[in-house]
Amino acid sequence: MKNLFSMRLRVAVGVVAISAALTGCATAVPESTTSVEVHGSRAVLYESIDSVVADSAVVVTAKVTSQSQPKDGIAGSPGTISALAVIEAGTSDLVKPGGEVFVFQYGSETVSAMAPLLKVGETYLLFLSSTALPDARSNDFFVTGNSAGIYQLTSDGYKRLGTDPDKLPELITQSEVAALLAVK
Amino acid sequence: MKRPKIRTRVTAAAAAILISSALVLVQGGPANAYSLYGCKWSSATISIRNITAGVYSTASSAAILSWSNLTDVTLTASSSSPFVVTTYNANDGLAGKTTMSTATNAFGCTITGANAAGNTYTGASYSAGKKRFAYAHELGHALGLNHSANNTVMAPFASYYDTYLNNVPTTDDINGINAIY
Repeated sequence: MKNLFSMRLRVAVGVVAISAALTGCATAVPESTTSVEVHGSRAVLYESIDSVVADSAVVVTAKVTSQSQPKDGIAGSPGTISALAVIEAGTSDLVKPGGEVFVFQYGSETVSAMAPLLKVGETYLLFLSSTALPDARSNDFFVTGNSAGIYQLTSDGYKRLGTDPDKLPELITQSEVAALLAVK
Repeated sequence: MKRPKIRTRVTAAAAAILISSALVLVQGGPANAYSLYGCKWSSATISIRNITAGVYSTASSAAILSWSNLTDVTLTASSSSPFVVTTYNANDGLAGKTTMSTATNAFGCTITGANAAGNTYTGASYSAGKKRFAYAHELGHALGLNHSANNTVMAPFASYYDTYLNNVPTTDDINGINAIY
């Protein structure tokens, strides 16, 4: 009797232990979602649109025709490269109307970053800086001041998309664009 | 017989309020400005792999030491850590950037990897102190802090670093990290 009781007890303990282990496994590995984000600190806050122009290599109005995400990222971070057809260009020799520019931005549709991403089909007024990346083409650019140099075409003119506390106009009209393009 | 008891109670309550107020004044100071990302490493002892060189190594090492010495976090060197401190070179308008991987489940959000990088393009014109500040800022992100007030390490713009170079990290930054870990 004693042995039988002892065996039953062992079996019961074993069942409890297995159940506990299974339950433990179920709660110890809950479903996870993974994500990637890019944070950064802007080097300069701009006091005027003239200072953005001064820091830019080119000023253009252009329409986004396509986008891609480079496999190795941009400078070590996930990023998006937008190809844009140039509509108007300033005095720089780097870009001409009818030409193409490539704008590099950190982040993507699935990776959040600091600046609003350009969108395919939209037209922008962009203040652009040469990337200084290895093997960069002459028409590869970052947006000057990360988010500062992005304005999107609306029915009222070009609307500022950046939300950082730069002292920049919220709207730039077509006539003001012409004046900016005459500078650079 | 009851009056003295009531007076005693009132006096004791007043004293308690006064003491509480005094403690708040002594301990509270200005309201916290720090902002938390909402994710943290799984432990307060965090391994870190610093692959910077030259002046950027000096700056990043000092920044790592400052967070480790001043907060409840302990940063230890490891060549296999998923927390990498490095440099990059790009005319992207940034003083530095941090790329973070996280995993979120029912228990919360865990940082599983980070790449905290100082930008040598903008950093070329920075003093040693400003380079250190830039790394302290990126490390703050990698440890779980968001941007904060302009007089802290987690100020959103490097242009503020010049004004506040001498105090890295600030009390507010330290409180932020200690609130996480």
